Amino acid sequence: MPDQTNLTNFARDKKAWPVYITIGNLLSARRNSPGSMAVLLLALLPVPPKPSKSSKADRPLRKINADTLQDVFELIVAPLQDVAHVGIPIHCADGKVRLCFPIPSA
Amino acid sequence: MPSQCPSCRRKYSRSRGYEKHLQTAHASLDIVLVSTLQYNNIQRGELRNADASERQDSDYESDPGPAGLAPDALCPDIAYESDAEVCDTTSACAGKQNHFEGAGEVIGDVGGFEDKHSNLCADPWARFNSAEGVKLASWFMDGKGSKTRINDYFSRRLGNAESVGYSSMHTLENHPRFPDPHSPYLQWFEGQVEDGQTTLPFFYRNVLGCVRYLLRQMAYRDDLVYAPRPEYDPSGQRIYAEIHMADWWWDLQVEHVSPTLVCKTDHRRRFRQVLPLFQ
Repeated sequence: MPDQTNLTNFARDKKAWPVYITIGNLLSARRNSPGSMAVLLLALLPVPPKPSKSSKADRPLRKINADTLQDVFELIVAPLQDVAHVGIPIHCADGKVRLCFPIPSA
Repeated sequence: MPSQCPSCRRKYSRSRGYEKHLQTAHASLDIVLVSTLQYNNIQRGELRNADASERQDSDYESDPGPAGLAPDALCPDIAYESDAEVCDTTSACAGKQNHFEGAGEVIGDVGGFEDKHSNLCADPWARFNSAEGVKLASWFMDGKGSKTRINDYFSRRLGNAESVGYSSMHTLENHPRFPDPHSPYLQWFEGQVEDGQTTLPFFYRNVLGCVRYLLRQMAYRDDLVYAPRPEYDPSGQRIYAEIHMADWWWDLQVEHVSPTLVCKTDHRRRFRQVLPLFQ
C-alpha cells in the first residue's frame, strides 16, 4: 500500500490511497518489470480527515481512522479467510488446475 | 551483511547458523528471526551514531570499528568463528530435500486450454492482419496522437491500410474491442464505511479474482513457480533470492494445518504495514 497519492493529472486536487496486489509465484524479475503488468490495483481506500500535528487532541480521531481502515481491510481480504484454510482450485497458466492457498503478505 | 545476535553480540554470516544459535543459546527468549533482524537493523543505526571512543575499548572482536563498519566489512571472504559451530553446511545442505511432496500438485486440466493455446500459436496477431498492424497500432497509442492526426495519416496514404488491417482511427479502435474472457475477475465494487461522523466511499476488487486473473495469464507461463523449491549455489550454500527458495512458503501454507488468518494494521506505523498473523 503506497502513501497518499495525488491525482493532480486526473482530478485536480483529489487524493487517493491505492492498494496494489501481485502474486509471489511470479519470479521477481518478471513481477517487478514495469511492463509486465503483474501488479493490479486492488482497492482505493477511503481518505479520512487528516489530523492536525498536535497528537494529544487528535488521538480519538486517529483511533477512528485506524478502526475505519481496519474494517475496510477486513472486507477486502474477507474472500481469503476461508480459502486460506482449505485451499481453492485455480486455473494456472500452464493449463493445469492446482489447489492454491492464497495468503496475503506485505 | 552478517547478522548480529542482540543478546550475546555474536555475528553470523549464514542464516542457518544464526537460526540454530537463536534456537539453542537463547531458547528461553521468545523471539523470532524476523523480529531479531529488525532489531539488529535498529541497533546498527544506533551504533553508527554512538561515540566512536566507546567502541575502541570494546573487548568484542565483532564490534564495529571507528568508521562505523565491522573490521572485516571490507573483506567479505573472512569466515566468522560463530559460524563454525554449524560449519558443516555443505553436508547439511546436500542432505536437505529439494522437493516438497505434494506441493504444486496438479488436480486437473483446464478445459479447452489446448485449443486456445494452439489457436494463439497459429495466429499470434489475431484481431490484426499482421505484426505490422500491431506495431503500427502500438506506435499510435504510445505517441498519444489525436484521432484527426491518425486519420490524416491514412488519408495521405502514408501507410498500407490493407496490410495493417485498418484504415482509420475508428476501425483501429474497433479491433481490440473483443470481450475479455477474464474481465469478470477485475470487476469493481463500491463500498461505504462510517467513521462515526461521515460516510466515506471506497472502491475495491475481489482479491481472489485478482489472484485468479494473474495466475492464469499465459504471458507469465514460463515465470510462474507453483511449489517451494530450495536452491543452492555450487558451494552448497542456500540461495535466498525468490519467495519459493526459502522455507517460509512451505512452513506457512502446508505445515501449519489450520492457520488463522488475521490481517492487522500496525497503528504505531500509521497503517503502512499489513501483517498476516497465524495462530
